[in-house]
Amino acid sequence: MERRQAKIHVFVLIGLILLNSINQISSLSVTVNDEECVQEYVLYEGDTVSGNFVVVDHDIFWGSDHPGLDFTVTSPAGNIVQTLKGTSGDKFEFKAPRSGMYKFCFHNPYSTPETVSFYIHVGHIPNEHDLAKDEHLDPVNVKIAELREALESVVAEQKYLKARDTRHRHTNESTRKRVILYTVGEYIFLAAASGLQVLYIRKLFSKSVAYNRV
Amino acid sequence: MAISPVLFIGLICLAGGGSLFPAVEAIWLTVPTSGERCVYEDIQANVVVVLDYICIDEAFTQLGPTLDVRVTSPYGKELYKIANVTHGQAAFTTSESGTFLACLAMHHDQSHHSVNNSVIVSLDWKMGIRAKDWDSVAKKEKIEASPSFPIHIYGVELEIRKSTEYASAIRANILYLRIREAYMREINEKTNQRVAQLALMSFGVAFGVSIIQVWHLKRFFLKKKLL
Repeated sequence: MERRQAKIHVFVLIGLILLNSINQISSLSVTVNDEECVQEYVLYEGDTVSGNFVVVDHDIFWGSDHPGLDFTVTSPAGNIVQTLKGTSGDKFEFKAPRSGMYKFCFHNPYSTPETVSFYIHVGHIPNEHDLAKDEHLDPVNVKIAELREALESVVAEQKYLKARDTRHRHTNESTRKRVILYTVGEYIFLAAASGLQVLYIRKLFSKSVAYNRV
Repeated sequence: MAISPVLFIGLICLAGGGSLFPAVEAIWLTVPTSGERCVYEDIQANVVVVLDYICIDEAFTQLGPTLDVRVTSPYGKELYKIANVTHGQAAFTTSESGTFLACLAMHHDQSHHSVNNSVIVSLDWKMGIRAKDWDSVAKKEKIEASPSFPIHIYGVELEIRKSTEYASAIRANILYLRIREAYMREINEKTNQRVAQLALMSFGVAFGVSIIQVWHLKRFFLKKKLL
């Protein structure tokens, strides 16, 4: 137990040292009341659009599952490229059929506003057609682009993990608060119930109320 | 200033990307005519943040109506506030960690511009390593680069340098996530212990209360000479 404590302290120390140098993991968050849309421009046809989103919990009272949001991706031509219904967080990836402005919409079917944290990335890898067009591009640029896209996919995964971690943390805090609150409430209720019982029995035996009844 | 829409968007993307391959991270938001559109971002302390925004009208042909932009720190302090601009850049270093808020609103009395009650704004957050000014690094390194290298290999070297720095930043991120997970695991274990302790205590409280009850009633009945 002590060794684990020391290990965790070492981790925290390393973390504090590293905090100054980390690449910023961050996902953009938007509060969805009814419907919120974000648009992203895809420059080239055939680009891979990837991303993820996580709904950060507000206080759920009874149900264990989050009701979730609906997520829709609409292409510039107007047809729906991808739909995810009733999820509380997911990853998505698709190849853009054409270039243009794509719309990513979150729809909240319930009345409580939810906060969504999302990240969208449009990745382009030059192919032979681009290489032929532009004489400044080398075949090695294709490899570099692939390397960049691989790194971007790792970054996207990290953002997803961090958003889920934040949500997990909210759930934990809520659990802690609930455990303490409900237990203290239970004690008070127990003491009050037994006090009321005693009072009632005393009243039954008091002279003013039908002494001989009991 | 009516340019081809695609060219215009492409120019903006290239200007924002600033690399060999215009990898765009900008999000395009619709800002309603009345009211604000706000986005949140969870950022740590001591991070350089650069926020680029540009406003275009619905037809994508020209710079559109003017905006009011404000950026607030998690404690409510106004970090950047500007009104009546079509494009600009906000740069600041965060002093505390938390949720930062960037709000965009249309400047009032622009109703003659808007077509469908909204305009499109491009918002680009760049943080930490992504805010690094690679152009100045490239210029600086050019002086030190060996003159025997052909020019197009130099471009490749910069890209590889970027990828190397991204990779080390990714590794630092993973360590950070691991630390957070360890902290959360500790809290979970404490909650688990707490639940067990409180359940035992609840048993003890029930037992104690019932003992007090029985003792009090016995005393009461003895006083009343019923027992």
